[in-house]
Amino acid sequence: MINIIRNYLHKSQCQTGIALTEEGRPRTVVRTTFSREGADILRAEMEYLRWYARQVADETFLNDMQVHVRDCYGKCQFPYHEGETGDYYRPLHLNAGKIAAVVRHYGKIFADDEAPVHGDFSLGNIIFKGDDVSWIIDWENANRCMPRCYDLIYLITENCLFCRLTGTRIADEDTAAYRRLYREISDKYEIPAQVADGPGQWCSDVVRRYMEKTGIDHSKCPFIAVEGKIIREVDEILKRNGLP
Amino acid sequence: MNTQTSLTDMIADSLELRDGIWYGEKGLYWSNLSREDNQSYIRELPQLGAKATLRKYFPQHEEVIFSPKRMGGVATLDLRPEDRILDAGCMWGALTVPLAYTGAQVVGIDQTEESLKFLAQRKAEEGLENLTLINADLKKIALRAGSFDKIVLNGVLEWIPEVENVEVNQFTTRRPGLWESLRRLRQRPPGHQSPREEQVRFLKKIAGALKDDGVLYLAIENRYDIYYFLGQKEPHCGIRFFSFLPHGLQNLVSLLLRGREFRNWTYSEGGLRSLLRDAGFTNVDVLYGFPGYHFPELVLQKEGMRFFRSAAMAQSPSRIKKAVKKIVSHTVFGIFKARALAPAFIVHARKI
Ligand SMILES: C[S@@+](CC[C@H](N)C(=O)[O-])C[C@H]1O[C@@H](n2cnc3c(N)ncnc32)[C@H](O)[C@@H]1O
Repeated sequence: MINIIRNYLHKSQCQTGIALTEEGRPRTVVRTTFSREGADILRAEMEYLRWYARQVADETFLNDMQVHVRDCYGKCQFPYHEGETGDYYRPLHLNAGKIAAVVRHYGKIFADDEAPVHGDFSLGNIIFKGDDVSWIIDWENANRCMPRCYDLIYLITENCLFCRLTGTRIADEDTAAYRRLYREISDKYEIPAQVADGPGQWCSDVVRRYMEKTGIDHSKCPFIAVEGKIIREVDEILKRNGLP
Repeated sequence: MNTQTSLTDMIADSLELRDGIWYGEKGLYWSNLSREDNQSYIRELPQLGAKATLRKYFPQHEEVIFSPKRMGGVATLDLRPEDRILDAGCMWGALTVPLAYTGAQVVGIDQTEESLKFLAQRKAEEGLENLTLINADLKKIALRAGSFDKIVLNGVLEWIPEVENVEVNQFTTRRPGLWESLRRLRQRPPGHQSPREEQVRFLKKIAGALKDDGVLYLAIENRYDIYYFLGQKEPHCGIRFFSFLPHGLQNLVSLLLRGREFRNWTYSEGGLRSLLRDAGFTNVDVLYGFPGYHFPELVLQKEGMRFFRSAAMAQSPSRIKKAVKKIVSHTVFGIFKARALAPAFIVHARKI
């Protein structure tokens, strides 16, 4: 039996359920959908998740998974990964250690050309054990059409956007951390020139093009959902101090 | 599948098939719409199709029928394609159609023919051969013993004791005045049954229709939902500060304000468990639906209460109400984990 349904997180047609052990610890995640769009999303998501599990050599994951998709109905199960997700409300400079670990993890996992882009690479979708990455969740928007560096640029810029949204000041330490991380990313990945004109605006453009191209609704992405004015404000701050 | 033979496996009454709906013994009328409104759009259904007709006439009801959130509670069930499922009081098919997508044999029963016509149109459009629709009174229809793996009662049990036609949000008939109200309270007509008695009788029938290992999925409001104490209207009669009153007082208030007895009883968790026990369900799992069972954002079992997030409750067009809801629910459910005040119960009940 599924003991928990978390619907408020869901961005699409799928229900996320959690089954607990006798002691009340989360054991499995069960994703269910009752629509054709949902089944398509789930199928794609499972493909990427399986890819990721293979990359991190998580055998339990592969053994435990079952996928059952019938027309408009889909259901799949995979183990729940315990740990803490990152906190995007925390100032960037306090997250810098974790983010550096994410950049390393990313470099290992997403190294080859065949690797997808996660598409929703938020601190809230990364599970940490201490400062190390233990698992990445929420693969609904994984794809092979966004630019390679999108995930990491998104990761650091979203953190700044959320701080701005909750009124946490983006301080000099944060822009300094941004500059450092940005440099690290640009050493490893090719970054298009437009990013320097405003990383937030660039993220919006990438998501908008992705939605047009695939027809998938990703409008809850903060760079689409948040007012353009605020995104431009964050961009201004980053352009002044955050970009090398 | 041969619908006729498998239908007689499940229903003992003789039913008559007309335009994709099987007809049994008539019941009352229950709808969000008046009969006239219903007639006007049903005429256009075949030309425009279900979704377009709904959008043209009643766009405000689109979410209730088509939102994927509606299935949040049902997703706790272990659904299998080989199941036989009864959606009792299926109305427009918000749950019936998604249930049919699983490939299971699904039977939808409702007393309101107009609602079923809409659902029959959807069935035809989507080619859901595994869905059978019956227009009949749930209280009268004879269900064969042990024929269903799952029975769904989503927002239906509280309507079972109803004795009058219902047009939702049109709660008032003639107001009788105090004296007449008191007289009516004292002089019940012969054969008068308490709502609880009727609910137990009905649930016994449901228990009988389930296979031995079958599951009843029951979703119903909590009589002691915290928001009733803060002035939220009781949804079955539209009166504030009402749900938690003793039944005698409820009847008096209800007679005075809307000219009818209040029969749409809901329960506390304990009350619901005892009701189910009396009907023969010995194994009952209760989950709590936030902000309710219609569009659950969160469904939590007792052990899962620490997953409560007040974000699930914060829906309101008004900023202030949103903030109040967040604070109240964070305190009541997040900190104190006061399940007794949860908005709704989602129950899996088994006979063994
Ligand atoms: C609140 S609606 C619930 C609709 C549906 N289960 C859903 O969740 O969307 C209650 C439905 O139960 C039906 N109903 C109530 N009492 C009934 C009875 N005695 N026989 C048949 N249907 C009944 C009404 O006609 C109405 O469509």
